Amino acid sequence: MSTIKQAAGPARPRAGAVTRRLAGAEFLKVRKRRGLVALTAMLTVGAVVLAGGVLAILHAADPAKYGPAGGLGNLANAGFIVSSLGAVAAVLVGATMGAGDVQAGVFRDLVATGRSRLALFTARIPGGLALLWPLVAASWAAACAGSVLLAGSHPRPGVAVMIEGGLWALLAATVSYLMALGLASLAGSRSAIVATLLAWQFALTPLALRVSKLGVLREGLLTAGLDRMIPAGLLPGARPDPVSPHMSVMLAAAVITVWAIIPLAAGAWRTCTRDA
Amino acid sequence: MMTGGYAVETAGLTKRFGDRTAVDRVSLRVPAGTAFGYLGPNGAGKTTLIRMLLGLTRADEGSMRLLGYPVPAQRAAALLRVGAMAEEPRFLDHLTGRENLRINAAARELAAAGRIEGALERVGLRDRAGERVARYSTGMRQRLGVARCLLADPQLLILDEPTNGLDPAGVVEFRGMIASLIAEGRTVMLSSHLLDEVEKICDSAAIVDRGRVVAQGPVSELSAEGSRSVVLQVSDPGRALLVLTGHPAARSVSEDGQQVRVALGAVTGDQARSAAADINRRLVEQDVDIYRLDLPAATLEERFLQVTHKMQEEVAA
Repeated sequence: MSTIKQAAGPARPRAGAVTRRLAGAEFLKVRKRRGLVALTAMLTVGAVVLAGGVLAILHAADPAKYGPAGGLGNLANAGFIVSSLGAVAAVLVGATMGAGDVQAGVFRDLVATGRSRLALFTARIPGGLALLWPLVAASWAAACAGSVLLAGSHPRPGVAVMIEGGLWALLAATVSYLMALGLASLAGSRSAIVATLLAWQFALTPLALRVSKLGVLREGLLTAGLDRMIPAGLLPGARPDPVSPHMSVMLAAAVITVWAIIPLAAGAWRTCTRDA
Repeated sequence: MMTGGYAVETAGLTKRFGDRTAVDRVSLRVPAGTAFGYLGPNGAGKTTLIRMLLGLTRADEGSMRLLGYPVPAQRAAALLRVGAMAEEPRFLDHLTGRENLRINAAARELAAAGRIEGALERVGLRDRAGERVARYSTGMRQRLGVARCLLADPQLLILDEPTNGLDPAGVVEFRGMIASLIAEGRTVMLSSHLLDEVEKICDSAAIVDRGRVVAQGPVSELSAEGSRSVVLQVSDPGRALLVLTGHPAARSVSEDGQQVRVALGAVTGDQARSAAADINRRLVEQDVDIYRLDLPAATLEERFLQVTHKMQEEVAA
């Protein structure tokens, strides 16, 4: 009987190095999806540039009727665009990251490497955000640049409101991304989660916020929490339909955290237990 | 160093899907450094066993060890030097072949990334590695699947129906590739429903049917245990049929034109030769001219059919 050398056991590189490698692989997967990247760029940078461009053209064509394309008021309006369409982009990217491996049939090959399923799941978080954050940040940067350069007679936004607005836009996109990632990992289906989340966030939630009979329950809706986090300097433009209930910042933070953590935990659980 | 010499050991491994038992108390020992065939008809539970070995699905009962490590307790250590192709190889079609390997290497040890170019070279895909996998043929995907296995620098390769979908030239090429891996001292566990494939590649094999291992051992011994037949070309097949029906060594006698086949059942080589001589003598005594008498070597196919038919009969009973 022959004997074989037993592998000395997996080398134990630093957890951070492994996570970076796995996250890099996840980023590679998503950045090479040309259609998704193009759509995400259109929904973020493209939408802001288009809106700003239209306003600039209108102002140039008829300054008496149309005000300047920049200024604080238009930055607030851009905030609404960035947070709304950024959330759509986040759902698309998150759902792709969550269900992509399972749907392509490569999840089993990754599991067969011996790497823990939780590590494979966790790597999806930074992997997708590496695509999403720069685009959301770029769209907000474009909005800020336009609001300053094209302010004309309008008041220019301060640095503080621009930074706060950017962080808020990133927060809105991140929560949507994490929800989509978790739910798509749970369901193993990209399209079903995209449809469900978009319907929830853009059709059902606005309706629910208007149902006064729901009372304090409305404070548990993600939109209510995110609306509470809108920088004061961007109100009311960033929230053109002010129906969200008033709530404390702490409560809003808790609501947002719960909406991010629960789907994520569900997705992690399913990833660790599903037949690969 | 591992004390035992087995790359794969399972004991009483069982997997159920509802009322159906896909893998039924399977106990296997795959000697290190050999090619082992896991042979069975479609639906026999071959893939399910491999999926349990790789931790893709949980076993309901039993225990298993890969390269000496218990699975799933030390799954990461066990799979470190295991390259596996479970079912048909799947890839991210929007990525190139090289990028797909980068994705897999990222989940392995750091050194795996350094093996990508060598693996591509070895399977003959280096020139096409920059193309998107969506453009790859079935054969190229199979080869890329092997390259993915090589990223582990595997002591053990587990290949599930690796020649499915390949044309004859691709099958021959693939066999050559597997043979070269075996020649390097790697253990290969090959699951297949193709008897010819297992017979040509493997040193030992297990035959599985309806989730149960029904025969196991060196391929040469399994083949030798197979049913054998005496095939005759005679002047009067009808008369030969009458003469040989009821022959003590014959399990059945059939006639097809000029050819008469006497099935001997599971007999040793000596018993088969003795029976052939007796059949020859009886026909000569009855004035039947014999133009040709063949005693074909036993094949794994005959053994396979014998044990799987026996199972079917048991199930029917």
